[in-house]
Order: sequence, then C-alpha cells, then structure tokens
Amino acid sequence: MTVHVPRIPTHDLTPGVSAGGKLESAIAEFAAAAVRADHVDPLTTELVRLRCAQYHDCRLCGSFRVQAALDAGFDETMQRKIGNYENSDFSETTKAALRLADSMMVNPGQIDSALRDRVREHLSDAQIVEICVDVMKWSQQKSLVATRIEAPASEEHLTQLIFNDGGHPVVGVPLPD
Amino acid sequence: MMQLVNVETRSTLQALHPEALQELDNLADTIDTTGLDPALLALCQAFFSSSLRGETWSSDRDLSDLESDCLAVCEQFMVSVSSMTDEQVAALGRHLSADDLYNLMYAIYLIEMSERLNLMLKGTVQ
Repeated sequence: MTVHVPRIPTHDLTPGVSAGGKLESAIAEFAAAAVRADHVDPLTTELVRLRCAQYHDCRLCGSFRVQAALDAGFDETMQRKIGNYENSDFSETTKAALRLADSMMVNPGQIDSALRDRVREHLSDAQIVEICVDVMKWSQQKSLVATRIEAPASEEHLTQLIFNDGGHPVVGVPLPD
Repeated sequence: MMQLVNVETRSTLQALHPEALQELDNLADTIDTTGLDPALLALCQAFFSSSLRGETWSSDRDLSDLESDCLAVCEQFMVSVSSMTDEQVAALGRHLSADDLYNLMYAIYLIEMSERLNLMLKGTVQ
C-alpha cells in the first residue's frame, strides 16, 4: 500500500482561516446544494461519486458508501464494475451518466455530437446539469489529494455516509465486509 | 472580482439548478475575501480556460517564480491530481503560508472545475 505524507503540515493551519474557514464553509454549502438536487436517482449518483473517487485516487471518498445508495440496492459488485463500465451490465442510463462524468473529468473541451446525442438520449437536461454539478462537488477532494490530506475514514473497513435533509454529510457506522 | 461561471452557464443553472448557482456566486465572493492575490487567481483562470479547450497556453510576459510554480501545480491538478508530487507542492509552498497554500488549493479546484462545468454545459445542454 502506498503511504502518503500530508504535504501541508496540518498543525500549521489556523482554524477558521484555512481549515474550517470561510472558503471551506462556502464549499460545504455548495456541496450541500448539489446533494439536495434530486433529478438523478441515488444509485446513479453513488456510481458517479465512486467514479470520481477512482479517477482522482481519493482515498477518503473511496472509503465511504452513501446510505441512500445502499438503500437503493448498491452493492460492492457494482463498485467493481465502475472501472470497466462500458463493458458492464449497467443500464444505458447509468453508462450515459458515467460517460458524462468521465468527459468532464478527462476532456470537457472535446465533447462531440456523438457523445452529446448519446447522453441526451438517456438523460434529461436537468439530470445532465445535476450530474455535472455533482462531478464538481465530488471533485472537491482534488484539493485534498493534491496535498495528500485525504486520509480514508478507516483503513480497515468501509464507512457509512449519510446526508442529512440539508445535504450535509454525517459519518456513520463501519459497514460489514 | 472573481466570476466562476460564464454567462451561458449562469443562465442554464438559473433555469435548472438555481441553488447551485447561488452557492457558486457565494463561493466567488468568498474567494475574494481570502486574501489570495487576485492577479494570481486570474492567471490560473486564464490558464485553465485555454488549456481545457485544448489550446496551448502561454504567457505574454515573464512570470514570477510564484506564478510559474503555481501554474505547474495547476497543470498537474488539471492533468492528473493523483500524480502531483511532493516537490511541486513544496515549490509552491515556498512562496506562501500554510493557510494561503491550503486556500489556494481550494481556489484552484473551484476555478478549474467551474471551467470544466462551463465546457460541459456548452457541449451538452446549451
């Protein structure tokens, strides 16, 4: 396992100025607004979130499973399919959502008419906008990955993540293997 | 004054995700209060705007060491953040306090992903 050392000494950060400061709080409010949107089902949202975690190598994001997705039937076999989703048995709607996420993370300036048509065949405008805003929200951890302060919630097990009615995250219990 | 999203994205979000637009506007205002150098942030924005469109970005003037180190981090952030090196972050950190480096990383995230959002919405729903 790769050991990552934080690139910003956390003891050098001033509470309320950087960590826990105004900018971090404003990002949390943006994230909550993204989570409150509900044009996309929880299962698809979770698959997109985990795709972002994989692409950005975010250990923190990858260590969580969102309870709403578990309630909707998410299981670890789905997680294992994300990396090769084009050849998976995911629905065409799910694949369209993952293609949209990939395009945003990899090459947003190169969207051609074929991709546009394939995405729009399965997703409404509201769903496309919600997924793009979600990808921006789930990419928040890029800052933490860049500085390697995105330690997983637990090294031993996956952890439940709950979003409250306001869209803010609440770390839950360890999940069984 | 920082603007994260362009006019077209603003219109799309107003119609389809107004809460996100409100929070993005709040984020832009908040970045302005962090004390980060607006000229440095504008440089980052110009770099991302050009590079994410597949254009080769170049400055029309000599860059300071801080600007060069910041753009090196921006480029790595854009291409593969997980491949960011200790040396790249340390080089940028030479010029900044830990608090400013922390906030700058978040500002880079917001500027970069907002530009990606602009391009995605243009390519799919606008």
